[in-house]
Amino acid sequence: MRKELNHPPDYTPPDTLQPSDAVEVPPVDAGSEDDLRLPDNPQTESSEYPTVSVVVLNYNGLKHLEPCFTSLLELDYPADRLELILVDNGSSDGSVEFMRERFPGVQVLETGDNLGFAAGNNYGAERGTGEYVAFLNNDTRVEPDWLAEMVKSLVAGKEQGVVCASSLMLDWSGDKIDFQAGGLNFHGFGFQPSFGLPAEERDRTPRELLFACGGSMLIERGVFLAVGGFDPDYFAFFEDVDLGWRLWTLGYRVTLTPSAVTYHRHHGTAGEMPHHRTYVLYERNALYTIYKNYEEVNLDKILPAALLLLGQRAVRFMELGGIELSDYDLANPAHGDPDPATNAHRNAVAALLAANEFMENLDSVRKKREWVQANRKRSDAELFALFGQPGRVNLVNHDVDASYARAHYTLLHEFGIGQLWDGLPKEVLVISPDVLPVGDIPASGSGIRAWALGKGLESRGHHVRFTMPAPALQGREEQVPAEYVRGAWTTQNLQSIVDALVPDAVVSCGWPNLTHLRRANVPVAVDLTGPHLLERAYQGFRDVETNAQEKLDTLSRGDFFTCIGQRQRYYFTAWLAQAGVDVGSITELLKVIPYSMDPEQPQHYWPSDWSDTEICFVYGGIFLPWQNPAPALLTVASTLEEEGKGVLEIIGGKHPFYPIETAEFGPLIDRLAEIPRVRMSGLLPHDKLVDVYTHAHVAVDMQQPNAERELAFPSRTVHYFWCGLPVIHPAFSEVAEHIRAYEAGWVVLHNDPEALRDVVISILANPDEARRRGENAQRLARERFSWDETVQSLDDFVREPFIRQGRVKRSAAQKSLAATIPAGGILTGGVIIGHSAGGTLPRQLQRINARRRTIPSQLAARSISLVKELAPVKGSRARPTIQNGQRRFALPELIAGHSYGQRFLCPYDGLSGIRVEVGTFGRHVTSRLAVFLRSSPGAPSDIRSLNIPAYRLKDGDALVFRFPPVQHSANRWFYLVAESPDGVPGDAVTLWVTTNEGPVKGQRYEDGLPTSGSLVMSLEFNGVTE
Amino acid sequence: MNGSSGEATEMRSVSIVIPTFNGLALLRECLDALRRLSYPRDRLEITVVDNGSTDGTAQALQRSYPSVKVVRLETNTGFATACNRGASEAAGAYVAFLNNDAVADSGWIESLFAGLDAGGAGAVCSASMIRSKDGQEVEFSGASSNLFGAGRPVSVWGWPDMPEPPKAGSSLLFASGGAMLVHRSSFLKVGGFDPEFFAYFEDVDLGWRLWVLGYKVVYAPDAVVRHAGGATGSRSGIHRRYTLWECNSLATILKNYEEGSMERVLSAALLLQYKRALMSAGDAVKSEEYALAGPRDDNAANVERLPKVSVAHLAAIDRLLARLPHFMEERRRIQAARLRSDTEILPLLGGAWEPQFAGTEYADAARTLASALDLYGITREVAPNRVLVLVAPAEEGRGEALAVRLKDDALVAFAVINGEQAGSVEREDGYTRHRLQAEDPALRTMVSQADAVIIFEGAAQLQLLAETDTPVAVIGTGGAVRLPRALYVSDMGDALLVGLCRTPGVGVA
Repeated sequence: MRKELNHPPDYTPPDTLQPSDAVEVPPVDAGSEDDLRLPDNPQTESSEYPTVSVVVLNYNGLKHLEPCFTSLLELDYPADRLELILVDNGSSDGSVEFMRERFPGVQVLETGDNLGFAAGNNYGAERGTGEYVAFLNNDTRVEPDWLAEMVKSLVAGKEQGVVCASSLMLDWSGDKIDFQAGGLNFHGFGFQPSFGLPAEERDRTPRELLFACGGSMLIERGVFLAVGGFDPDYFAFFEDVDLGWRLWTLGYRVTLTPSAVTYHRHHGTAGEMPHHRTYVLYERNALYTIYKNYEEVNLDKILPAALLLLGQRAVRFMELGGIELSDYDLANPAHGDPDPATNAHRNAVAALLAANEFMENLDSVRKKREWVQANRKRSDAELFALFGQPGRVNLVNHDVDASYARAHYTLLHEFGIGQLWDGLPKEVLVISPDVLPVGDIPASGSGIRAWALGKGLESRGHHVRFTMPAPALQGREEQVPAEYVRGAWTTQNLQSIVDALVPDAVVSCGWPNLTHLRRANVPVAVDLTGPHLLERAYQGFRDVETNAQEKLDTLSRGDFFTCIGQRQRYYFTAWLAQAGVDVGSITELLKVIPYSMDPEQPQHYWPSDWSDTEICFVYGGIFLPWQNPAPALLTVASTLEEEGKGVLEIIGGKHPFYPIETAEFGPLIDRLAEIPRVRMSGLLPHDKLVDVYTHAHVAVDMQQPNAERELAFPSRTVHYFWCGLPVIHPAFSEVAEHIRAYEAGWVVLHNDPEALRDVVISILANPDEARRRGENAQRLARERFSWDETVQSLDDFVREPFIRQGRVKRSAAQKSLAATIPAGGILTGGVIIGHSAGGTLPRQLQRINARRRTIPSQLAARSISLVKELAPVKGSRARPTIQNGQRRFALPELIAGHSYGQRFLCPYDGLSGIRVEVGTFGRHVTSRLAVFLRSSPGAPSDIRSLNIPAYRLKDGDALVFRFPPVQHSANRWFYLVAESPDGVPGDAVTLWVTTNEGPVKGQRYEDGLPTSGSLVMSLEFNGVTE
Repeated sequence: MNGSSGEATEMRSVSIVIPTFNGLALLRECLDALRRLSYPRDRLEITVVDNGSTDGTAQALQRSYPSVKVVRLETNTGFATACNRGASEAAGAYVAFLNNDAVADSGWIESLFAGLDAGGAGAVCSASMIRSKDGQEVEFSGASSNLFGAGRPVSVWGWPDMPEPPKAGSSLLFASGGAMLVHRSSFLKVGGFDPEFFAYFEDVDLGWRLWVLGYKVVYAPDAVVRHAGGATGSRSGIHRRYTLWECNSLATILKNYEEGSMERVLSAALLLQYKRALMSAGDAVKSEEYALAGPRDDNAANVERLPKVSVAHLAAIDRLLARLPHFMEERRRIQAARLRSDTEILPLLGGAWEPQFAGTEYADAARTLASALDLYGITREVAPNRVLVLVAPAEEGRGEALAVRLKDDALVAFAVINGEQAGSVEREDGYTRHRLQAEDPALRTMVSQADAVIIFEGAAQLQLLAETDTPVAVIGTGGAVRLPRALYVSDMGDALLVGLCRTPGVGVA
């Protein structure tokens, strides 16, 4: 059944928009439910199939036509329901004559001129007669079920508004993925995140896509024409992105049909064009796309940022062409080259021409914008998730990317653009320096550390990929899941892994990895676990001076730093300062994340009766030369011998992959081997090690002190806690304080063998005490060392990543011309990195999502300000100001009968103002908002109050509640509460909540009852006390 | 020594701050002139901030001007930083900034104060009148800027029908940094000149910021300074100055506009800047070589030869982005302390649509942007347009009626062309009537300064209207002659005519 067309097909929206012009999601009008199912056998019941026009656009592609149309003639689709059309865009290579002779059954439409991809395909769609139209590139061939599979998807999804299906595209040989997902960054550049993956990695289940690949897709023809088809202004490139985004905005859906397979010669047509000419179209069309499709409030922020980045790309291309920016600096004492002209790369000019064409065409594009916006059915906020990676940096050329990337992230931050999708997952690459705890081989502490950081980020909702060093897997590839082997890094490929993935942030565990990551093109967090330089010194690896230089060099390439304990924080502070990190920022840039484990803990097995159980002391881990447990282990072993009870189990050995000497361990093992109550086994895979630990009873975690050990926050110790083992631990260590606080074991002086002996004897006498302390140890691990909690500071960085100002130094990097410029603006992903198994959303995200569902437009929440209306007269300048953390989520709308409050401890005298971050979701709100300051939730009277109409809340970032200073406010508790006496759903504001513990101590309240988190607020102080 | 003079002690103390970089000969003239100032010596301090000169400035000052205080900076830190440094080390309650190539009249300081005092409450900064060295040309007689932060040293007073002639205490968007007086602690409190500007337009930014923060900048027309001009900064290629002009006007937008306006003005400014980059490349760029279907060329290296002035428009973007965190931090600080809305400030701009590049193509692009980005919503707050009504002698009555109708919405000049009594000017209530011959140069000046020209068809054959960039609306058919870019409207009741008074170029293409 053909649909009536609502609009002229040339996408010229009417000048005046009438309500009747609104596009409706097509209702299900095709009779009974049965009609929605396709019959299984196309040969016998062909009339049940919808009619389809397949449009192949051709411009001088004679050589592609034979395989393409041969495959179309072999389609498993009833011939009488199928119309094959070749639209010839004015070829001069005999394509038309060839088709008439070789494929006489194919309808050939000649446009007479090269109309471009968009208008050429529209031309075919307008003249086709099918209920559906499929667009297929001429440089492809399809599987026989290609069309039927896509038709099935659309018929099945009709009720949900699915009108467009994308084929899965492989390369010509079928070995690699060409298209299975389309992404879009915020300034309009599309990308193919799966491009180049091996074909066996392809998706098997349908899922929603922002846009279907214009090279092979199916769409309801009536809808295609009604929404204006491909925008002919584009000529070519990104018109499919625009169509998909427009469909979603207008209320439709787009799906991937992975069972419909197309084989594609990539850029068979476009690849032959000079790059600077196609580049004009990419740059211009990206501007068209964002200008037409964003909501006004978002366009206001994003358009200037997009234009600045266009300029910044042009500057970078000018550098590639040979300009020296120092010649444009008036402060440069040298007068510079007197030549009034200079060389510049053509792509720079192309970007300027693109901006100019955009501007000259704005009158016409504005009408299209108005039409799309007038018919909008979904907010941008609902669609950002479909972008895939809206903050993805669009790299230009590896030689000049550093300052481009920095500008990109700076703009996201400074213009508040990143906040538009800060609730969405980020793409993160975790680089582990050692074996991860996956598969069947032993993992090291640093591998488990990397895993914990990645898992912690995953628990916050991010998409995390891990890569571990390939040499460590050599000869053991079969014992590790294949994707980890394929995605393993080497010193040669680490940078290209990053370049291909373009993650939102890299987490590099350990600074030595950064030696192989030389380009500052994405934000990098460096986890500084362990004083590696000291470890190198203990191993005699190179000389101290060389190592120190390497360390400083690599540290200067990080943007954000984490370390494992407070002592290491002091240690690394000095190093970061020497590496050129701004000393004033180090407090913000270096955060402690203790060694952390899964919040899901293994169960520890304790005997119900000790009578037939040997009490098991355990020591586990890789033997390293800077560690010396010998005196303690010998003391424990001899005590067990003397007492005639218990066993000491030692699990360990040399590092399995790296040639590290074991120093004290050699003679120690020899001596221990002579003691009967000592059992020994080699290193174990992680799960087997956990099995041993959860059946043992006490961990002997005693080491001799040295510079490395005194700084250490040992991974193995936390691992013992997590398994439920109480720990005997030396007093000099930072962890000892936690053990004391939780009674998670026994703290003993490292040089007091008698004390150690007494502890062992007491355990042998009263093993239930070991159980009690073991349970405490697990509680300690859960409360202080669970990765979903400890990862907070890294999560903050990943959520709004940045490239540190001092990181980008214009290097004397070799500037080479165009060779490395990717063909086309679609940048391609490529390397497979092990992707940790999916699964259910972490609890925290579920919680947040649950809240979001209560207000669907939550993500669109705009914050607002009263600064102008309520600011006091000049003279009472507020100082100092303290703020209590970043927005994490917004509360449900504040409606009549409810209240949101915050009890807080005021740190200074002269409290004169409170700023509370408010959201309106971009709506016009007419209700009133009342804010009261009281001494406590139960206080009968108000200290200060404010009653304002919410419509006065305008653009900005906070509701400012200012009042005459409260003179003696220091160390007093206050209670701030907001109510909305006439707020109703849909006409109310809300407040933002942080989960950080900021400097404002206190407790959040809902409806007068305490609850978790804090309102995002800051306090202002007049600072004047009389 | 004047401690006994009661009058002198009441005079406000002033520190004159002169930044200099390698301009010793001019600096001598500047300092010699200051010796002739009539302002009491004991209320004056003269400070030269030497921006790392290498021409012996420091030694010469020590020898010949021992009473001048010298602040020596090791390297050229730019005009803005030098001024800030001089102000922060000054002892006076007021600072007067003076270029090293400027010569002040003896009553300069008193006149600056007279202007300041005439400005009333909140006036903390007064501007001098700057003339060329020979006194013949006016270099600064008021301040204006287009929407995009490109400040200019003339005001709407260049228009003959400004209701009030310039006088002491009139409000100005900014004072030229080359010769101005500012209340020292206010200057320091608002942050002084932005050091990241290095040079050029830091005075526009300062003035705009003073207004946003609740202060006033005013004119002191009797405070006259003569300026040699171009003494500093001209030795390197002009592309270096272009980089600063382009970067600093963007920074002025970024810092000073209210949220909502800033983003749109910035988008338009960037698109126009990229257009200027292309237009200033001239024939170096052949657009057909960038068209997908265009003829192939043999430029295998993919490199173009571009004028550096063109490249400077993009070097400015790099410069701006490298300083973006600074400018945005300043923006947050300024906006949080805002005491005046843009609605109150934008009328000070003067010619909001003054083009930065000649030619109709550029003017048309600006108009396209104005409607696509809805900039008219912002410019509605701007000072009224200058509208010129031209008629043939037979149409005088109809033209006069239109002038009367528009006078509340615009600054109206009404001119009868090729009639009797040519050369006469009559001031009517709210507008002026000129009688001019078509070839009178004054007519060309009036057309070029107008924001819009409305003509009756009897005057439509004027040749200069076919050439002008100013939007032209013709009432009637225009007869046989068709102006290529004019808007033809049927009668004077058309609402577009009133629109022209506030939003130049609506519908004129």
